[in-house]
Amino acid sequence: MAEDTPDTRWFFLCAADDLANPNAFVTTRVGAIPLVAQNIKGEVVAFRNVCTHRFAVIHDAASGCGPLRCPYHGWSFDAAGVPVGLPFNPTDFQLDAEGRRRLALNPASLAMCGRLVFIRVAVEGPGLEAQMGADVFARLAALSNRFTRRGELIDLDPAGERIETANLRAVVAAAALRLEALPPPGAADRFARAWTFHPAHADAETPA
Amino acid sequence: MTALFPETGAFLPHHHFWTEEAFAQERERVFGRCWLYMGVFDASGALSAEMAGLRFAVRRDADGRLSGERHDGARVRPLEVDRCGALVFARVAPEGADSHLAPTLAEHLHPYAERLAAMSVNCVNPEPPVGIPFQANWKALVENTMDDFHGSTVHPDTIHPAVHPDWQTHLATERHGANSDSRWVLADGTAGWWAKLDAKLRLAKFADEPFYRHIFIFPNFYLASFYGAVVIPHRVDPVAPDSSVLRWQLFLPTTRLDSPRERAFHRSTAAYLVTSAIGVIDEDRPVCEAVQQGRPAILGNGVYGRRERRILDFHAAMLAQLAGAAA
Repeated sequence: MAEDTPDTRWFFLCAADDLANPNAFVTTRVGAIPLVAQNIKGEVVAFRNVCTHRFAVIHDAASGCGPLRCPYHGWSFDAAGVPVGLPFNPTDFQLDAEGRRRLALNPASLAMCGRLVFIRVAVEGPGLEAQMGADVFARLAALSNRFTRRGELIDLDPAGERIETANLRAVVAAAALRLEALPPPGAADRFARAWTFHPAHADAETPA
Repeated sequence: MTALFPETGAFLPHHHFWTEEAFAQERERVFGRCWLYMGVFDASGALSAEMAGLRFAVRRDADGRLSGERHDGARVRPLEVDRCGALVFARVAPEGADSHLAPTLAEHLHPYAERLAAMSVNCVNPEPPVGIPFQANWKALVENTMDDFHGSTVHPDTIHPAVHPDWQTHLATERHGANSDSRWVLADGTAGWWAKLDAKLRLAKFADEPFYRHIFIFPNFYLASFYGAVVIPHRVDPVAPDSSVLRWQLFLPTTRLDSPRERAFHRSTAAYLVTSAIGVIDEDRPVCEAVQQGRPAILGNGVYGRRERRILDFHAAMLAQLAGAAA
């Protein structure tokens, strides 16, 4: 049985809507490990949010819309995490397919519970449903389907829903999660970063 | 394939960029032993520095004799102080039976002692020193400065257009173990701008070279120059495992500064150059800090391109220095 550590636990990331558009991304941290989930040409994938070339964090923003491209040297990555855009590759690296494959981003795990997206550092480990318990998983999945979708008008439930409840429903759909990022092993506590996760905004930049 | 996938052991372990243990080791074996750049004397004849919690103080007395000491808490040790032209360096005076094996300053600067001395002639007309804090390990800054090809991505509107459009052909890099030198040919427009400035200010030049150059000296010093005239000594001071300060000072040397008008023009030009340099460093700072945040999460060893070998040279020099016997 896998050891229960932060790396093997699932963490809520965002609503599926937040990753629906090509190039949409959402980032977070688990401990000292930055993670990113990104829509690449319609496929939503998750990686450690760190470039394999010289180790820069790729996406600095909590969420947004833009290619998975490192700000340091401009390396960009495909849905398998393999670098596909390498400036100066012909002169400076001459990486062939095998060389590129060796430099694929370190993968992370994604799981869905209804319309909620969860992320995990570890590639292997118990599934989200197993970790959450089947009953809780089913209830959360059902609940998530009642959350307001991005851009959707909120109508009162005809079965006598009060306006306060409808408001609550809208707020809960954009629930914020606070994660405390831990320092890496051996580092001072002040290396830690308090990370407040805000869900992707409905007005996030859309791709050109 | 020109890329190099380094094997474990050929570079510093990743944790050397954030652990207190590695920081303490560097404090003792690198900053407690190596020749370190202290600065350029002003009229006071005194310089001070703080690196990795060690405080250095050097002075020049009325007879020109150099001396200094290093403070490590309450522990004080004498410094050996030497100069390379106008550049002042110091190290903890070696002790013990092997002290005669410690390199002289000229040996430490090899093969750049002569070139640095020639460049340092231009350390006149000083601007006030600048210190820019980085939330990153000092070595991330060193790696950044020895990386010759992030111009188009990190400095697309500053350094990148200032150098020759075909910079790849014109970039010349020399590697000599721990020390190295890179020089870029300036773009025609940039060289023309400097030529006009030269005509107006009558710049003092250590060489007729339309280059942006910087020479790196292990462990944390580099001297940048423009057009064979302006020189900017830089030093990366470790503050903590995850923070450092980049300290530098700009010198805009002229052969004559007689009239108030000339002095006013010199003042405004120097202020412009200092502001521009701060702008460039403000572009480097986020990527250095992004590396600091990313490195603890990486599982691989990275890859080093043809123009990144200087970084591995630096890692090799650090490994050798850290492997030295305890004092």
